[in-house]
Amino acid sequence: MKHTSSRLRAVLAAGGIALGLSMVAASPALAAPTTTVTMTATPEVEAGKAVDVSVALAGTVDAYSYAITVTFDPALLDYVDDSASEGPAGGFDSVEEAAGSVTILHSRLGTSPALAGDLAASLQFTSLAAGDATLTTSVTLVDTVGATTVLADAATAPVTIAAVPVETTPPTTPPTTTTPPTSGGDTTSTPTAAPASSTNGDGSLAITGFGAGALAVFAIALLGVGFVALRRRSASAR
Amino acid sequence: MSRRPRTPESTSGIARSPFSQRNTPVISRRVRQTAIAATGIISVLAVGTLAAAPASADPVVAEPATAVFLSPYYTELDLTGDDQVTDDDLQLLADSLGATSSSPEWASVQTGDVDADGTITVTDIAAVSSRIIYDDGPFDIVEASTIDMQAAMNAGVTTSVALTQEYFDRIAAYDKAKIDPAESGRALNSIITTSTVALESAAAADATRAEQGMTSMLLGIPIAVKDNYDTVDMVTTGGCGCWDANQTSDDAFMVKSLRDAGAIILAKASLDEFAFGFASEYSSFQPAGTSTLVASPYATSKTAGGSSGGTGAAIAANLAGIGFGTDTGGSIRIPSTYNQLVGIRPTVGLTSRDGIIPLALSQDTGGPIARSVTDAAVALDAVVGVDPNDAITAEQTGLVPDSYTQYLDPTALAGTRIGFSASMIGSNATDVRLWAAAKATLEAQGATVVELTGADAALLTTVMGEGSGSTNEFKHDLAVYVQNHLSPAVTARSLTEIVASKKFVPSRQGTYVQREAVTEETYQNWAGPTGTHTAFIANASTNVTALMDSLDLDSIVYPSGTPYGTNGSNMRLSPNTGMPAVTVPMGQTSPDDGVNAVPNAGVNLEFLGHNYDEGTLIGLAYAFEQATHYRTTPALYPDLP
Repeated sequence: MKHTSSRLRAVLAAGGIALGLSMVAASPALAAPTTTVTMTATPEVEAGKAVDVSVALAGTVDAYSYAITVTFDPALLDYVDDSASEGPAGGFDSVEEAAGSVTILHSRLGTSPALAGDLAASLQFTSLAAGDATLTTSVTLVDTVGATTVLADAATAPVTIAAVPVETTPPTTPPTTTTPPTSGGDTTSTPTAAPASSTNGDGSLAITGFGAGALAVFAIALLGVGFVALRRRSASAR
Repeated sequence: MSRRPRTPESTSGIARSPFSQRNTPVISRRVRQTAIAATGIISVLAVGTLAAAPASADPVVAEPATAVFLSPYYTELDLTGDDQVTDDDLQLLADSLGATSSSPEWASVQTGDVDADGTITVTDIAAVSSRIIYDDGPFDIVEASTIDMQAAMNAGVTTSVALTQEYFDRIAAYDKAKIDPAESGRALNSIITTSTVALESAAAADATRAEQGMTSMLLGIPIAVKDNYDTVDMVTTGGCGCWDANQTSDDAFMVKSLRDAGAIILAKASLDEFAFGFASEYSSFQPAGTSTLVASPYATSKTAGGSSGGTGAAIAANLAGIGFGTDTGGSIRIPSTYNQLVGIRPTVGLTSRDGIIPLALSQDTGGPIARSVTDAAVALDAVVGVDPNDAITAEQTGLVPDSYTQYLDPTALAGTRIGFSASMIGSNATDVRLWAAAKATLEAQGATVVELTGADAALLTTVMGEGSGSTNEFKHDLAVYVQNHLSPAVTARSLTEIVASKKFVPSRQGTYVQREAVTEETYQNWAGPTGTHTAFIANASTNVTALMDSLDLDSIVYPSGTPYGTNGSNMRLSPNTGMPAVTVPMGQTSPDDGVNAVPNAGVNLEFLGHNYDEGTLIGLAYAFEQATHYRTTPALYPDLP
C-alpha cells in the first residue's frame, strides 16, 4: 500500500484548526478537542532491527476521516512498505510517504456513519543507523459535516537505535609452509596476509573496545553496522 | 424495529470482481460479517493495534464502468472523468495530499480542493468521499429512497433479496388487514397480485451487482405496477374480475424496460376498474357483484384516490420501492396528491402505452408514483424510449436527456419564471393557505412568480373545459388491446361480454353499456386523425406553449387537488394539451384552515411544462421538495416488529 508522494507537505503545515466544507449545512462550531493522541514505539533497537509503532486516538467523537502523520529522521529509519494497518472495514485507506514522514489516511464512504471511540493505527520502520530516532505524530480528524480538528505534534515516542556490536574474529596464524614448486613452472608462493583484527596484535585496525579513540570506534562500528544492515536488507528483499 | 440480517449475502463465495483485480494498490473495502453496534456509530477498539486486515478480503461490490446517477451532487466532485465518485477519486486525492496550486498535478486535483484552502488535505478527501453512493450504517426500509437502497446494497448492508422479502412481509402484514383502530378504519387493499418469481429476480440482481457493480439506479429495486400494465409473471386484471385469467404472454413495453434496468417487478397494484375514475374500486378475484375500495394509509376511511389508487396507497405505506400508474384525466396525480407522493404524468409520446390496458389513447400516459422526486426521476429514466408499437413515441427522438437525474439540482428554481392562475388556485382554505406558502417558497428559491390574468387565464379555463376522451375512445381502444394482448383464456372480450360476465364493479354497468354504444364513426369524429378531440389537444398544446413562451415561463403551477378532493378541472390541463406535469407535496391541512378537513391530509403542487421538458419540471419539483420536505410518513404503517 505504498504511495510515494515526493511533495508531501505536512497536512498540518498551516497549524491551527481549519473549517472544512460542510456536506450538509455549514457548521461553524469547532469540534471539541476531546481526542487524545498517544504514540508508542519500540524504545531501543539494534540498528537493522524493526521499530514497531502504534498510534492511539482515544475518545474520538465523530471521525468520518482521519490522517495520522508520523515524522521521523530518514537517515535513521525507513518505513516498511505495506506495514501500516488499515482503518475499520468498509472505508478508504491509503498511505502516503515523503522524505521523513508517512501519513496513514482513512475515510468512511458516502453517507456511512463516522467512527467514534478509540481508534488506533500501527506501522513499522526498519532502523538504519544508530542514533536518537524519536518519532513525532500529528493527527487531523474530519467529522461528518466536514469540520476539521488538527492535533499538531500531538505525541512523540522515543526511539534509540544502538550500534550493532562489532563481532571480533579469532586471530589466524599465517601458514609457514610454502607452496611446492610445480615442475617446470614458475609459480611463486604468496604468504597469506595476516588478518588485521586481533585483540593481541598492534595493527592500526586493532579494536580494544571503548575508550579514548571512541570516535574511531564509532566510525568502525558504523562501518560494521552498515555492512550488516545491507546484508539484512538484502535478506529481507528475497 | 425489524432489521435485516447484516451478513452481506452477496459476498459469500463470489468470484473476485474484475474491479478488484485491477492493479490499483490499496483499497480493499470490506464489510465485517459481524454485527456492528446498532447505535449508528462505530465504536472501535481499545487503545492498541487494530487486528491486521485480512490480506485477500473481497470488495463488497465492484464499481460500474459508467456512472448511472447524474445528479450534480454526485457528479460535481468527480476527478477521474467518469461522472461519479469512486475510490479512484479518493486515491487520486490521497496521492496528491499536500499539493498546492504550484504543484504540477494541481489542474487534475483542483476540483478536489473542496474547502478551497489552496491545498489538498484529508478534509477534502472527506468531502469527496461523502459523494459516493455507499452507506454501511443501519438501513430502514420505511421511507427508503433508491439512493438509500443502492447505498445500503453497495455496502452490503442489505440486498435486493432482503428488500423484496421485506416488502412482501409488509404487504402480508398490512395490506389486507384493518390496521387503523378507528371504527371507520379500513384495510388498504392496494395490492391485487404479488410475484412468485420476484425473489429469483432479486437474487439475479444481487449477482449482477457483485459482478458488475451498480449498473442502474433501479438495479434490485422492488417496483409495484398498476394492474393495467401487462406482466409475463402476473395476470393483468385491469381491476376487473372479468379478466382474472388475463395472463398475457408479454410485458408492457415499460415493464420490459424496467426489467432491463434490473428492477424487480414485485406486485400488481389495485386501481379503479379499467382506470375510469378517482375512487379506485375494483372487482378482481372477488365474487360476482362485489367490489373493494382502496384506502389512503393516512386516513383509511378516505379513498386513496384514483385511478392508480393502489399504487398510491402502496407506495405511501412503504409496501414497495417505487410505483407506476397511468394518467388519462388525473389518475397518477390524484393518488399522488391524496397520499403525499411525487407523480410524473409524462408528455404523451414519452412513454409507450403498448401493453397497458387503454382508456383513451388520446390522453393515456404511464408514469412513476414515488416518495421522492429523485425516485420518480430514476424511474422515468428507465421507461422512456421509442416503441414501434406506439407510433407517437417516435416524437421523442432527440428530446430525451441521458438521464433525468441530471436535473436533480436543489438550486433549479433560481432564475425561473413560474405562472399561475388564481382561478386554478380556487377557494378551498387549505389550498389557499398552502399556495401562499408555496409561492413564498418559490420566490425565496429565486423564482419569479407571474400571475396569469385576462385572456391568458381564460385560455387555461377553455383548455380545461374540453371533456374527457374516455367516453368516446374506450370501446375502440379496448378492442385493440383485446386483439393484441388479451389472453386467449379470457372469455369476456368485449364490453357486452364483460357485462354478461357479471364480474365487474356493479355500479359501472350503466357506463359500460353506454360506452359499448359508442359507434366507430363517433370515435373517428372524436379521436381520429382529423377528429375534434385530436384537433383540440393539438391546438391547446400550441396555444398553451405560446402562452408560456410569450411570458417566458418555465412552468405553470396549480394545486393538484384539495384535501381528499379535486380542485376544479385542474387535472384536465395536462391531458388536454398532452403537456407533461409533475406533482409534489405542498403541505397538509391545519386546524386553522377553518374547514372540516381531515387532519394532516395532504395537497400537492403541480408543475406543468413544455412538451418533452420533464427535465425542467423535475428540477423545479426537486428544488421545491428540497426546500420544504413536506411529505410525511403514514403513522399507521411503521416498521414491522
